Amino acid sequence: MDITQRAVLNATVLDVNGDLTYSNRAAFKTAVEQVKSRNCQHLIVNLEQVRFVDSSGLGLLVLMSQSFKLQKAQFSLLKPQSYVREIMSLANIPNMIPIYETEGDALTARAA
Amino acid sequence: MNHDSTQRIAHSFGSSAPDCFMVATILLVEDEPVTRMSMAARLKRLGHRVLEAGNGREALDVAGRERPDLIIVDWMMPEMDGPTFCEMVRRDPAMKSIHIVLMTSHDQPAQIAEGLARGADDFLSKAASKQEITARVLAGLRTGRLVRELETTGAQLESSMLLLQTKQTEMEADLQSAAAFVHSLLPPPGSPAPGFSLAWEYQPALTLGGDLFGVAAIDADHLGLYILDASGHGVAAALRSASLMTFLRVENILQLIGSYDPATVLREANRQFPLSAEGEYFTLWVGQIHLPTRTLSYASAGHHGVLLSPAERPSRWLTRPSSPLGFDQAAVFAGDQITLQPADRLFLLSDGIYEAPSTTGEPWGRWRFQQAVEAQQHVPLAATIAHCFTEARRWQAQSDFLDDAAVVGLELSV
Amino acid sequence: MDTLAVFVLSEALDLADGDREFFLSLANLFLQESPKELAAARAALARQDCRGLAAAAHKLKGSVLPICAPRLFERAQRLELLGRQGDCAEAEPVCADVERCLAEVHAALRDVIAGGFPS
Repeated sequence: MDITQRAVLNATVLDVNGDLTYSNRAAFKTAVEQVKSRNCQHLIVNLEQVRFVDSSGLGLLVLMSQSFKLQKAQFSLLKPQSYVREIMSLANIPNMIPIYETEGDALTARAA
Repeated sequence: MNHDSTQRIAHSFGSSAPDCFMVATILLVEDEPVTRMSMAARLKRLGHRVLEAGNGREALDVAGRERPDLIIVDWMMPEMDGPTFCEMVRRDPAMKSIHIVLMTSHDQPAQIAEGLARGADDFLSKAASKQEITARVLAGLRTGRLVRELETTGAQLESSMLLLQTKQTEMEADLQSAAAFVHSLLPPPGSPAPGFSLAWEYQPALTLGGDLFGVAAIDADHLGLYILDASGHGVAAALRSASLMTFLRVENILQLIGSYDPATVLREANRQFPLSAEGEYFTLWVGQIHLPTRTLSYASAGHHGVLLSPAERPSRWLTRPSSPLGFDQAAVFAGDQITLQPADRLFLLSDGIYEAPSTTGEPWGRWRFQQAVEAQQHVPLAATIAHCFTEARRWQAQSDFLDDAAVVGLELSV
Repeated sequence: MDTLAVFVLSEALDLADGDREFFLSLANLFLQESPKELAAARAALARQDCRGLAAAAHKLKGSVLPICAPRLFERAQRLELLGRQGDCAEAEPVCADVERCLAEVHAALRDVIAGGFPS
């Protein structure tokens, strides 16, 4: 798994490339917590290049979104692939974490 | 016999050690008294503790007892010469890494080679200047210290390994007893209630599994059943599962919420089992059968492994999108109800069985499980379950499952 | 031929890092030990034991180094070499030479011990 970070307007985007699973959860957690510690108001996790999320990966996404909520900051997901989207839907993730189709949507949703 | 062999070993300490290195213990082996006195004085002036021996045998005794940091030994000595002494030291496991400097007036390459081959680390000419002696001794001490540090590290590693192995044996014993306890909580196959028969197969990936299930009478009219799955892997996940299993025991639930209503059980479990600090959680499916009416009430917290397989109709999954435990403190779990028909079969399965990957990584899949079950509708329940395991093993081309594999079957009598 | 010095006090003292008292102890030890090596060399020569001769001469040679007596050192070295070569006949006069040189060194050391160091 590869994570790159970039700033877009007043948000930070993490582009994740690869699987988000039990074996690489530590790397993902570290990357998100690094962004969080800088008082980021909106973190967008781009899942476009993620083929697979296992149960640990799913738990981590929820955990991270909960911790952003506590900090009154927003945590959004961007463009999950169909398999990942299905797993998320079965676990009711869209009810908890906003999922967007474009970066622009994610950014304006925050502004609104 | 050489008169020097009776010479007493002199211990002496230097008065002023230079700050640049630690006080070392040096054994000086030399049969000729004037040379020995002169060399000993030089070493003492460098700040070292100097032990002296007049022959090789005596020196072996002293070296074995005192473990000097460095040995300086004369090549030419009666009885046991320097190279022979080197060989003796190298043969002793306790002394073999002591740094040895051979004192000699030989400077022929062949002789130097012989000295090295027989165990010397370095050479020092008897006519060496005091600067050269100082330099050689310092270099020898430095090397000796490095070798010793390496050996100590090696020894520490070895003892850590032993400790680890002992701990692991203890832990495995603990795990075995935990597993025995958990397995004693699994429902016995047979008839959990009049008109129902139960069969299951369970292949935990570890000694102690993280996917667990239960089927138990709640009261005279109700049969409760559940299957749970802990996210994550390993012992930590298995132990968390055991704790949820304990929570789900009938007595506990009745005491806590007064009934085994599935949606209420899930709400309470959701409250009591938040996400772990690592983001680990459970999925859980809970059902309750009202025996007089054969009504099954059920609710799921993110668990999608319950299949209803009626005798004459297509099977279907008893689930709907729902939050796993701990995802959402405000989550409301919807309860569903169906009426079971005679000969209906209910299968509770862990993801370890339908996610069993083929050699190319493709999961066996819930639909293949469904097919296997439907094709085996008319054979005894236990045989159907065994068939599912056979098919999954064939799919993954190996006998052991990567994750816990469980299939629980509950059948209504005709 | 004997251009070599009998005894160089300054060098010997330098080897002892200027520690006069230590040097005196060393000189006394040399006075005590060196006759034994000479006797051993003589005895070896008497029984035509060339190896024994070489060993005794080697030992004497070694003990001369910290005393800084170049002439005696050179004679002892020559004696050791003849012993190694198995040339006992040739060694006879060299051994006498060693004996004479040793006496010179002894005398010089006794002077230092008795008369103290030149300032």
